[in-house]
Amino acid sequence: MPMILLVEDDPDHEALAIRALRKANVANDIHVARDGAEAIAFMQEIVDGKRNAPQLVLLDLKLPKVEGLEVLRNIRASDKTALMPVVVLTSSDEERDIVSSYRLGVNSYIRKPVNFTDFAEATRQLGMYWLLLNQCPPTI
Amino acid sequence: MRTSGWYRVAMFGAMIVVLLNTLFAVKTLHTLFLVQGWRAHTLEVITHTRAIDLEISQGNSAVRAYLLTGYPSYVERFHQAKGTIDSELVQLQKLTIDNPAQQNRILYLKKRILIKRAALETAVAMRSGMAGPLDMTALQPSLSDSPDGLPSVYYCIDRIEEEEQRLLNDRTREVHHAEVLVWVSFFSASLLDIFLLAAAAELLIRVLRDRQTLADRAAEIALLNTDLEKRVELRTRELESSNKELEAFSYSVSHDLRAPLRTIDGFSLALQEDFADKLSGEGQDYINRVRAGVQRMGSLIDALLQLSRVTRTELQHEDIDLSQMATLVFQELKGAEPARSVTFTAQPGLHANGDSRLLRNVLENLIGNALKFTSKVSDPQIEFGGRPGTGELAGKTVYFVQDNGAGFDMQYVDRLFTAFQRLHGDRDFKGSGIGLATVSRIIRRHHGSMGAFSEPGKGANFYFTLADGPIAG
Ligand SMILES: Nc1ncnc2c1ncn2[C@@H]1O[C@H](COP(=O)(O)OP(=O)(O)OP(=O)(O)O)[C@@H](O)[C@H]1O
Ligand SMILES: [Mg+2]
Repeated sequence: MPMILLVEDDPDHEALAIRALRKANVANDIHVARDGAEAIAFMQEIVDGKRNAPQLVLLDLKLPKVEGLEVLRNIRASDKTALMPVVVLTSSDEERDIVSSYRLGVNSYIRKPVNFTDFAEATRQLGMYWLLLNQCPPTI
Repeated sequence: MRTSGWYRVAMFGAMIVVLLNTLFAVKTLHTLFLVQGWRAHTLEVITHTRAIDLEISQGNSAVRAYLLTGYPSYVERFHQAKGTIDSELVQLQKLTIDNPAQQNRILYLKKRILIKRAALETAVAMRSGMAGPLDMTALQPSLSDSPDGLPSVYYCIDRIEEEEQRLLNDRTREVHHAEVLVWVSFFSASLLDIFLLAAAAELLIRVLRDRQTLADRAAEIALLNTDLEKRVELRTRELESSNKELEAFSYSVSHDLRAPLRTIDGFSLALQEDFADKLSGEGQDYINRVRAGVQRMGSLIDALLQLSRVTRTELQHEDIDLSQMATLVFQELKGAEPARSVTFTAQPGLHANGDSRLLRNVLENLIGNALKFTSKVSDPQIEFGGRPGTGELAGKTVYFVQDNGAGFDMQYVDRLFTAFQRLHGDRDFKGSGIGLATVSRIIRRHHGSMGAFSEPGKGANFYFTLADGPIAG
């Protein structure tokens, strides 16, 4: 079964995100990278053929070590990972973050609302759209 | 330009004065030479007159000597005197050709001389024919000064000389006068030249000094300018760095302050959902209150961020139809409250120059407030309009949003534009008290001013102005 890569440093948010995904009936494996460096290492393994590419990447922007935008740049830079659907999930609604993300080719940008009911709803739609409805490009 | 024109006129005037003075001096000198010439001429006439006088006496003496001695050499001397006298007379006549009175006198003198001469010749002839002793008494008449009793030769000569002496006196006086004039004119010319030279020198010194002061001042100004430029540069850099700091701060606020709120809300929800059976109604209520608090905190953070964003974003100027924008904003805000019926009017065609996003924010806040604070009146009315400013705001357009809502006490009007200051309780009207602070900041960035007037229960009028033209920064 295709898996989801969740890049998130806050363990609380990680737990809440996983709970929201499960509540939305997303049964896929969820791999968690806890900082930017880990996420980049994960991508390297895909490039090296040691791993299968995830079906969806949920990316936080504010990460320790390597920033989320840098991870996104890294994903889009390599042929093997370039077409991977990446959704930015972040607290920031700063214009420059949104613009930079789209410049770097993000597929979707979602601002995490403070209200968790709203977040749960967003997660449900996210799972439905990216994992069920959306036709992903063939893996290279 | 003006002063140099004046200098030129003064220069020209001075040149003319100097020239006239010189001309005058030359003229006096010329006169002096002329009268000196006249004087010399008179002296010459006198000399010739005296020579005639002398020769006549010599002739007389020669005749007398001959009469006494009978030596023929004396007769010879007599003839010689005659020749000299005649040639002198010719000279005298020539010299006094321009003086008819003298000419007459000379003619008369000539006649007298001829008569005297005839007498003398008669005496000489008598003596040469005589062998014995001389009869002096017979000769006496021929030897007298006036043989015929008319004016003597000496008398005539004296008259001529007298006239010439008079002329000499006149001319000597004239010469003296001319000399004085020459002195005066040359002295005054020199004095004038020295004065003008001194004036020119003074002027030159002054001009040079002025130029020096100007140069000094220019240098001073240049120095001040560079200093000012440096200071502006420094301030700009300070401002830039403080702006960057603010940006970093807001960025981390938007991330870090919201993250724990999400955790609280998320796990509160998880509690509610996963442990619903273990929670009493009261417990459910507490969790709801926790979540409401988190919500409020979240919107406060958002409001603060909005406020700081107003300061950070760069203004983009364009022409904006405020009337149209106000109508759109009202429709949007009203859309969130479909149950209410509110009368909205906007005076059409009000344009302004400014940042459309920020001005939209202004209208959103003012019209939003108007909507909020009319929520408890039966016939809510909101109006957007413009009027010409008076007093301090003369010459500017004053835009306003007027409502007929709750209003406020004017005593606290100044507080409204400070963040988190509210005049109505959260129970009556919800809000975080950041809206007007944001509006005021936007208006300030547009170099405008704002204010409000109201009375409790009688609605409120919030107004603002904007800079007329495009604004820098
Ligand atoms: N149209 C109005 N009529 C009466 N009072 C007003 C009006 N507009 C503003 N005020 C008073 O000014 C206070 C500050 O307004 P402001 O817009 O800054 O805050 P708010 O509307 O309470 O909250 P926010 O706009 O941040 O959601 C309000 O709380 C209210 O007391
Ligand atoms: Mg408000």
